[in-house]
Amino acid sequence: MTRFLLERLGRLIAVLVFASLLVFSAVYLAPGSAVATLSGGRSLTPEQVAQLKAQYHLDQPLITQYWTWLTGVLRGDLGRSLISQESVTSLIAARLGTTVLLVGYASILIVSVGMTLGTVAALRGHRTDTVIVTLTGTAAAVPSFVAAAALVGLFAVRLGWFPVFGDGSGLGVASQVWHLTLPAIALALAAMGFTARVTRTSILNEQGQDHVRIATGLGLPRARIIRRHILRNSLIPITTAVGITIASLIAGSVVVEQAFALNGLGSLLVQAISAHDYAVVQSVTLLLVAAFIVVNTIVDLVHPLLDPRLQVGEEQ
Amino acid sequence: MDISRRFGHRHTRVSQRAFAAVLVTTVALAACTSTNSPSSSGGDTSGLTATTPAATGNLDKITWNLAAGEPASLDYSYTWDTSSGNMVLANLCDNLMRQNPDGTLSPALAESVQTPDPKTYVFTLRQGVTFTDGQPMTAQDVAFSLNRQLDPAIFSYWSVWFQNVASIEATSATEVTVKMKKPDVIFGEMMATPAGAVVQKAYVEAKGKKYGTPSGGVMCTGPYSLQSWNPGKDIVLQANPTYWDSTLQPKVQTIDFTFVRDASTITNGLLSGSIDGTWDTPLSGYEQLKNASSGTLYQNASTRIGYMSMASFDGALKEVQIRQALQKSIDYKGIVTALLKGTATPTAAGAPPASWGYAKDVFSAGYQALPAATQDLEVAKSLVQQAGTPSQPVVIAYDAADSTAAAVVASIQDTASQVGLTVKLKPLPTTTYQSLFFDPNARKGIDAFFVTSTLDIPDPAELYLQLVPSSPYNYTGFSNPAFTNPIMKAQGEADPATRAELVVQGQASAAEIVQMLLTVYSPNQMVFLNERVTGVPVSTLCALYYPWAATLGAP
Repeated sequence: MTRFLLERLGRLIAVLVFASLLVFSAVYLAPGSAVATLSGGRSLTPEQVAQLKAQYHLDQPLITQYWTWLTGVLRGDLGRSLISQESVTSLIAARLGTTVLLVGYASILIVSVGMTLGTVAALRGHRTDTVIVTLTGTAAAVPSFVAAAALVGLFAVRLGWFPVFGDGSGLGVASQVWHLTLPAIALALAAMGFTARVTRTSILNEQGQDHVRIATGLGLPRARIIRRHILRNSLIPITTAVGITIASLIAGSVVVEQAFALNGLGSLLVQAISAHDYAVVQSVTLLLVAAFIVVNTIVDLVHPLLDPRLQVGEEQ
Repeated sequence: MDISRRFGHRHTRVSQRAFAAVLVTTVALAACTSTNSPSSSGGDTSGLTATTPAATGNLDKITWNLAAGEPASLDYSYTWDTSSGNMVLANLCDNLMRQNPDGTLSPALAESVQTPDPKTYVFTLRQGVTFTDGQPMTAQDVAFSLNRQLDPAIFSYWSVWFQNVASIEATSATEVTVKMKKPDVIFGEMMATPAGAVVQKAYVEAKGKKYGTPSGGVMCTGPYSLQSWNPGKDIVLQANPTYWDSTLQPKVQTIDFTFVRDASTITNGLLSGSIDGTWDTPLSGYEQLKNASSGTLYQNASTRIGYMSMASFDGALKEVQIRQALQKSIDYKGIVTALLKGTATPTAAGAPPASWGYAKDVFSAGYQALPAATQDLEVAKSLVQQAGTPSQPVVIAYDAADSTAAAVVASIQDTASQVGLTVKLKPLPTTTYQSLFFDPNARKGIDAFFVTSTLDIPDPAELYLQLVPSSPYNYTGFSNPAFTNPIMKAQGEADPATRAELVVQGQASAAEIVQMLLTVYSPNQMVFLNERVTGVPVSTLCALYYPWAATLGAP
């Protein structure tokens, strides 16, 4: 177990270093430059441009700039935003809560609603199955920005049940949950549909297995068969799929954050990329990469609990 | 000239009749030379209005959205970048001079300004003014604030207007004297923008690089103080109970500035009442907001222009006839009615009527004499024939993220083809587009690019001064003494009537040969107010530089 975790940690660090270099180069090579942001949209003389570049070390080669950033990080200094002159740590701290809450809320919806619908569809069959399959199929096909527009139009503007935008932070948890309900649904909708389908398929697959048939033939109670023999076994592929889905929600939250004007990491990242704000782009992307890896590691740790035959770290 | 790609471009379709009325009003306004006062024909029929009903009651709190998003800074030296920073700063910090809703300038933190000789400004400071922390404003604070704009390490966005400054000194406890290297009237007028803002010396020195950031805050004398700035979320202003100006006592206790940029979210927020007001409403939401039951959409002529900035005369735009043909080929009326939904006025001048802060009769006469902003395909065709069809296409760049610009240049491309001119459009990602303003390499192969910008003071000379050959805005390097000489002379000319004559002279010469700008339209200033708030003047310069929030209140 300890070895597994250490191995994972090593892998995490390697991925982070590689990703940071990749992202830094991408921002460096992308068209435009940070001077556009620093100039404030003014026309400048060549001397003024040179002065700005020197002042912010933008005239140095890529590898020097990267090294400056990396050594800063190793000293615990994530750097300063070029645009706002604020420390990256405080910029991220101000937004982390919203993104975590949004993704957490969406994950709960995905797991509870998605898995319940999939299970009901598989076990009930017939008309219920058809209805759920149709609904979840549609849901899985709706992009989050379309869902956002439809949800706001109906529940916020027409009915006034939920706020149009904002994260409600500073007004207590209840207010935050209320503010994040529509964003979380918009973010989770497609993934809920997907999860329901994976769950349904997995359970149907499990129902056809020999051990289930034998258990049924032996006359074991139906409820017990479902719980012990069908659901438990079908959970392995479901958790794998849900894990990947949830990990990708973090990056997918960008669109929803923009549509609902939420103060999250996604909006920060988009803003920073367009302004060539290296320090911010680096820290946010690395945070996203780390979160992705951590969520997947958690899924790997959960698997042996579901099926003791699986060893920690063993691939599916 | 505030190159403001990220705002102002959110306009919009009134009926043919309303459009005609807009035109009539504009002409009427030009004729009666009062662009900023309410139109005599009555706001309803023209659709333009200079003021909103005065506020009478107090309010605890309102939510106001900044359509251009979160300001990058609230440091007065760096609030020129987007409209957002200025819209907030206008209520936090006073300048030595003030821009009034009627389009005039008057002393503010300076009680009076004397010019004993053309190269000296003496600002006599208003007494009894305190910063929002209770400390009195001193001549030292004023001299420090102005000198900071000269500091190369600060690299102030306003530094261009301090080029002619020789020295700035506190010459007594109540006086600050500015010595100029040469006479410069525009410097004095720019004191009505954050170029002339006054901050507390001790506070700025203590905060250093953090001044004007979310954690550093600001310290000024305005009708509001900064209560909090939550990065990415909002900026909260608190009314200043001891504001020095008795005519502008805030009626709204707390203002929450939000940073929503998405057009449909802004529209929905205004319709549902979760946003009480915003400048620069989205064009896409124009019909909905115009018919909204939750509030009123106001619009007025503005100091903004939408134009093509000439980037190079080495390519297809080399011949003056080709530039003139392009100017004549544009479907001004179609662009304004169909694409901008009637929320703009065609104009050929760089400085639209709302920017005439003085000698309006002179500017008006000069405006009438300019090439008309009307389409004439026959004239355009014969101009192309005279010069011969250029061997290369006219390459016009624009910000791909700006849907209005995209529609306008597409129309220009279409009508140009009807007169025998091939236009090639070059949509650029925002960052690349922004590089056009300062990077000659980025402008390579581009003949012109579409820009929306506004003047910063009600003086057309400000705009034209930035187009002289020595200015970084003169991208073509084109030198035309018939333009440059009168404009440079206007900079030092203290007499308003004479200055206006000079500006009009230069303007005519530049417009004749389509020298720097090919102006297409002047968009209206839009503002939406929820039914629970009212009071702001409908003016771009007020939105940016006048303490407008102090006029807000309950109807």
